Amino acid sequence: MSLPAGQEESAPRPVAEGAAAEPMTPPAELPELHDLLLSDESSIGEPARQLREQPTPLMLEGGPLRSDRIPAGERTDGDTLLVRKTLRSGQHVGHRGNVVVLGDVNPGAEVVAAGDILVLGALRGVAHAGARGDEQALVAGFRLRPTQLRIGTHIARAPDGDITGPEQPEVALVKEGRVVIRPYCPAGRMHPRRLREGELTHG
Amino acid sequence: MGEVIVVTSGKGGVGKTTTTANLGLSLALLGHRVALVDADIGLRNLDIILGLENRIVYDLIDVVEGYCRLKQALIKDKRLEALCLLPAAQTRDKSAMSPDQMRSVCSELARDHDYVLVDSPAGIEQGFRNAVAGARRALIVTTPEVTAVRDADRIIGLLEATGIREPELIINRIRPAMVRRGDMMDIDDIIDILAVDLLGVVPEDEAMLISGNRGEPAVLNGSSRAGEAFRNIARRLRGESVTMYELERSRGMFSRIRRMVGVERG
Repeated sequence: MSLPAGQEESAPRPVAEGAAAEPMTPPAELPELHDLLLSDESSIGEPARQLREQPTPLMLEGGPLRSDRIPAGERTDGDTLLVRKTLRSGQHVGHRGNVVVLGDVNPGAEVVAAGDILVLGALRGVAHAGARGDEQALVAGFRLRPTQLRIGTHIARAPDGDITGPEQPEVALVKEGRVVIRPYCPAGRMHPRRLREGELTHG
Repeated sequence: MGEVIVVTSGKGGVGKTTTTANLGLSLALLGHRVALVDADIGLRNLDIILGLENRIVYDLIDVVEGYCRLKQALIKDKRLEALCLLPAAQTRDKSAMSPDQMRSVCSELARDHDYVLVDSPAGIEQGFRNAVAGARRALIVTTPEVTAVRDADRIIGLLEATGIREPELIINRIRPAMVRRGDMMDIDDIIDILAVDLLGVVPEDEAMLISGNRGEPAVLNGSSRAGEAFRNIARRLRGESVTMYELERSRGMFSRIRRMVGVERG
């Protein structure tokens, strides 16, 4: 096992480096590795995926970025839009509450919500949660490979080059003024709310 | 009543016209009556690929404007009796006709033919809307390039608004050696994003270029690998089950491990 544990938040995902050159694990260890990766009690640490962020939060005149693309109306609790299809390039969904996509969000598609965004598929396009300025909003997806992620007034983009990431659900949120991506684990220590409130220290 | 199928892609230059010509000939070789419609008004190409340019008298716009009857504008293929072409007008543009007019032309052609293949222009504007208007089925042509796949995705999204059932995908110009080296998107990458049924994969083949210039589509050439791929696609198109062109993509054990631990995609 050579996966590094206890990454600092600011460290980029470590596993990509030199990955193409040689095997990381002898085949004999595969079953064990597989079990480990799939278990909740993973002891290999939970490396935070750090997206590259613009140095200063972007504000457009008149409020948080692109809130104009959300239909008017007050946001109420539980106001959630269910999108039962894959959003393809050129398609746009904007909602004053939360958005759940039952499908993928492909490159070139965008989802903008005043609340949270949950993608039950791969997020490859652009997602803007908390588009009216809610810094507590989050973006979760089975596969987070966004072209760009926006939460509140923060904008983060994928590192240049191939976008890779673990084949597991992840959640993106703003922590200490930065957009970070964490493995998503609803019931355990990695619950998004706890992550946000800083109950958990990494490393 | 025949089936009207539009061949489209969004991006230009991925091989829509070549695909239309080769599938049309293949279907005709299989004994079907086939009509090809060149909907790329103003940029007429399908007649050249088929080697029929010098036989054009009337065109699609002449038909919709009532200058001639549909039968007069149809050009019989010089090789296969069962194939005919309705050429585009070269001196007009996309605004010269409407989706409704295309619909009526297509339904008239479908009365006398088993397959009507409509060659769509590139883009998502009026020309595209005209081309898809009469179709019940769509073939999306893409190449293993990020731009072509992105545009195909856009087109699939636009087709959702029409009455066309699940579009089917043709991946053109794949180079097995480049895919093996990881320098080209592989089939799985493309399917992963587009999430539509794969009708076939056509390898890059120099013979395609030569045959296009000569007006002799590659399906007529027994030794062309691309021609063979198109013949197989035509058989799948009419419902036969034909083994997919096997791209020699051997994934090593290490590659699979990396993918499992999430380091490598695709």
